[in-house]
Amino acid sequence: MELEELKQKLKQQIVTQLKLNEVKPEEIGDDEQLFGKGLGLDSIDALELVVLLEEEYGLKINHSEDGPKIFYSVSTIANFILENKKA
Amino acid sequence: MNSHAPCIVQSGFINNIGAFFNDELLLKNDSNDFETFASTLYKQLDVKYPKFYKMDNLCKLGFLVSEIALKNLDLHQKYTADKIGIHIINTNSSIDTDIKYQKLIDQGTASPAIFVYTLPNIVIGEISIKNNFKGENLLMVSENYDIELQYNYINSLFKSNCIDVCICGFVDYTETTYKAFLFIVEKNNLDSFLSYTPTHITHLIKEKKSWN
Repeated sequence: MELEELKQKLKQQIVTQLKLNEVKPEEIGDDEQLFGKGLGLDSIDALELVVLLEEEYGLKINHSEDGPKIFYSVSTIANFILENKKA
Repeated sequence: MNSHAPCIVQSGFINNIGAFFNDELLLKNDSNDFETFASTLYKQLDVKYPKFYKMDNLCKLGFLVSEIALKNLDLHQKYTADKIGIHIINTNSSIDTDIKYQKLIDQGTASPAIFVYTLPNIVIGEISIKNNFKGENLLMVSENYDIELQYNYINSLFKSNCIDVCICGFVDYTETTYKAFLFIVEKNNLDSFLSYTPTHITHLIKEKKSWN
């Protein structure tokens, strides 16, 4: 899957999985901060994203300290998926 | 009439018939399912709180009835956050979400977002976070809505100066039925005509259609 296609898919999955009913996938910027500012996601959302990565992409985050970098934005998640799928 | 005695200020009520502010019908329930009705009511109340959509049904019910009970009332103008308490009684705990979560476990999957709602007192957390209420709070699970128990508990909080105002009542949700009644009681109120007594609460409930 190409990067752009993956980012669009991720935006749709984030909106659905996290029940962001008032957000349209296309409104989420590729590099927009997901936690804190930006979308304002919280710690439960982070756990949901971990489950999403495991169930949809078969990927685990082995070091929890990597979480903030991986989940910073849609772009960082997409890059993590592509890099680790190749490996 | 009642000065310096706990008084009921106003109330919200939701059941399968509709949503009420005091005795005023805010929204008739024309939906077959709670989620559609709750979503319509949320939009009508013009609440801007996106986390509403993440809540389970018990929390949605409690959140919406609290928004109605607190309508046009800014408790922070009169009270500090730590003096605003919440006391809720419920009979079916978080059974609706418990069943959903058990089904997920049986399927071998997990959802942190559903798991967090397998405690009924989360409904108090949702109301507290939305409104920045930081006073004493408690959710009791009992077979029936024990009005006397709630009255005694809240009065003890008032007498010990723990809180000065309380959002209290009953919020219960199952797959087949739901009912929520929350009212605001102020420890010292010079304007309300309705003193906070078990008799008055019983009377208010009897006025509600389909309470039983």
